[in-house]
Amino acid sequence: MKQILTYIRLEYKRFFKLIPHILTGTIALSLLAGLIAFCAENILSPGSSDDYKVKVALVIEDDSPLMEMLADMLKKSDCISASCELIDTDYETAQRMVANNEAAAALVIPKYFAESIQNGTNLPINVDFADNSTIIALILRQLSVAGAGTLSAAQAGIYAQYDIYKSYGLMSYDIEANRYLNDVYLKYVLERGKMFHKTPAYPTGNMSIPEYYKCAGISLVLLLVSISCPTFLCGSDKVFENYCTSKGISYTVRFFTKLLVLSTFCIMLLFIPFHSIIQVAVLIPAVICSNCIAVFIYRLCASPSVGIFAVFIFNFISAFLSGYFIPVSFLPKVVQKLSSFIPAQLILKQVKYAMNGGIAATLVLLIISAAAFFLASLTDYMKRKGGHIS
Amino acid sequence: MKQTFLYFFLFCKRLLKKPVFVILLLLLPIMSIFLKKAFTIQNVHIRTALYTPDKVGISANAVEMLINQNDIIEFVECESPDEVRTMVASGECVCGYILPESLEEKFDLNLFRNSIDVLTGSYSVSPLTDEMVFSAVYKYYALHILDKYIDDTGLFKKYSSKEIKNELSDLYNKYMIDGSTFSFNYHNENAISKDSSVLLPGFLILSVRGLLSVIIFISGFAGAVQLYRDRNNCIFRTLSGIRLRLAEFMVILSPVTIMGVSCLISLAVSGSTGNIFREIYSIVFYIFCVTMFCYILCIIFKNEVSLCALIPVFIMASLIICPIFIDITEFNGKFGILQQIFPPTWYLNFFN
Repeated sequence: MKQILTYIRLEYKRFFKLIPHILTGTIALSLLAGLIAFCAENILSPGSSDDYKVKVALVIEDDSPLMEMLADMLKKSDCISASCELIDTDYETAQRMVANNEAAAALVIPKYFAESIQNGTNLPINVDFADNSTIIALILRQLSVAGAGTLSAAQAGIYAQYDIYKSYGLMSYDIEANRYLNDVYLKYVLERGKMFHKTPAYPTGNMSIPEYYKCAGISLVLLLVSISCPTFLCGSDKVFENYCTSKGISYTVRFFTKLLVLSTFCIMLLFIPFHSIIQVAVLIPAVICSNCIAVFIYRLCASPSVGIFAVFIFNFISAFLSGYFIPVSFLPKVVQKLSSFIPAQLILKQVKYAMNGGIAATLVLLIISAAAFFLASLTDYMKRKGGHIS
Repeated sequence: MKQTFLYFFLFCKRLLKKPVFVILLLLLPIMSIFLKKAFTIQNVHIRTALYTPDKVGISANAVEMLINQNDIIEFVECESPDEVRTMVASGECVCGYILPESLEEKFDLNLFRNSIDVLTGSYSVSPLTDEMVFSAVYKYYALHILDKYIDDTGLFKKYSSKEIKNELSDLYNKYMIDGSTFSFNYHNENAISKDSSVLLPGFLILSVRGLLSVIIFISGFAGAVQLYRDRNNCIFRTLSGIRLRLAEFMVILSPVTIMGVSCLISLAVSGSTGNIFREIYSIVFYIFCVTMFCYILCIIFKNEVSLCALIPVFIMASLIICPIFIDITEFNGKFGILQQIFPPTWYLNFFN
């Protein structure tokens, strides 16, 4: 027992001599994780439709007060401001802008337009598209068709009401009906924005994007921190192993000592993002699992350099499939199903639970994964030794 | 000089004896063709998900009208609200609308506020699609308002309600399609470009050339690791001074050159090349820069393990910061300075 404790103490001492390298590596990884989170947030956060905006030259030939009010309403509407940048101008300038592709389209509202809406003649608004304007001009077209459809529906209702009252000799009631329908139709058009209740559908599930990528970043650092201390984790030479065995320090003790030392460091690191002991305690199985993977992989590799690449490639692929870089919902369904068995995914889930509170079923799965990697490492050692466990 | 070329030749020969390296060289052109196809996104669509539990009524009619439109913003019907959420969350649809049961009743009872749930995704065109969904719903609700008003006035009590409704519907539909209501006149529609790639986000790049430049960068690191091993094996013990430096430089230059040539062939095979002279001088410049970069790192880090620990960081940073998959300067212009630290950017700058 005394020898085991001495061995543990010496391993801690050996590890802490590497602290400057390890800290440098951890800081570099943390910065990288932060950069990934920043990029992901910018890519995935609900953004505006500004990229779908086009410049439109607006020509209003109708100078009536009603048209001024309608134009003001048009310019302030959300859908117009989201789809185009209106540039007030005259007809000749508008045609020149379209010809030179300075504007994607010219919208020409003819003289007496407002009056024609009121008296039913309905002068159309002309839309001239520029040659080779981008496909975004088609969005403008689709939007204008929808807008025209709304106004047409109200007009069709009023005209139908007029016709049916006329054909049944009820024209004395027409003014009242007309006023009522105008009021109701206008009410719904003006309040149409209130119909919609918006909620974001995060690709990251129940967590917001910054929270998700904070968890992914912490998990990534846990997975890759072992890259900073390869000489510590790599298998020792045979002479030293035989010496340890002769002193009663078995492979199991050596494995668990490396695990203990590295996990101590990781747990200390976790107090930076998590300030609560309970949250860090919840993450101990995740730490143990990720470090078991690292110890196992380094055990298999002939040299620290090879170990670094093996750990990196294994954990990078696992992290990608587990949604560390892009959420799992973007990956094919088969990958989504398979990823639930990957240790990296379990580690990420555990970190998410620590962030939001609670203990999950992944706790048991993590312990099983850690045990599996330990047994695999032990089996490899037995094969190489060609004998019993010592 | 002759000796330097001899070293270069011998190191290349050593590399070409490694089956893994040769297989990688042969796979690169095939991978490039595949990546070029994967990275070429054609027929970009803007999709919007719709769901309603109603089979008849305003919601059902509006959904049917929208899904039958054949336009740049497509509407797709989903089987459940969860499917809408999944499609929006996965990016398949930019947003989704869940129209409730008996929407017309909600309107009639003045309960239309917040009646339609809109799920907004990463890249929302919601102000535009709101207008389109409203227009579709309104088209059917306007007739419903008219029907209801006619019923409520009681002026047509002595006539058959069904006949009156049919007559109203016929009149309404007639006015909707006969051109007597408000409309737009579109001119020169056919001249609009059909290239839908402009709908892709501005930061998205997906460059085959960029990925190949990172592979050349990785080969530089592989050369650097080999250099450490050669130093440990004392193969340069008979050399000194400038000859030693040149020989060490050749250790890194050999894998980078072979990989550079393979990547140039891969670009040509995948149809990603432009002016041949620019391709050649840019790749030669890049090969030299990568070799120099890695050699300087070998001088700074005496320990192989220290450099190996940095390699994953360099690779990951290159993939994120350099304009390979995304252009990070679209998020913040100051990243342009950070981009210049990584050699792949120096190569890609020739083609921007």
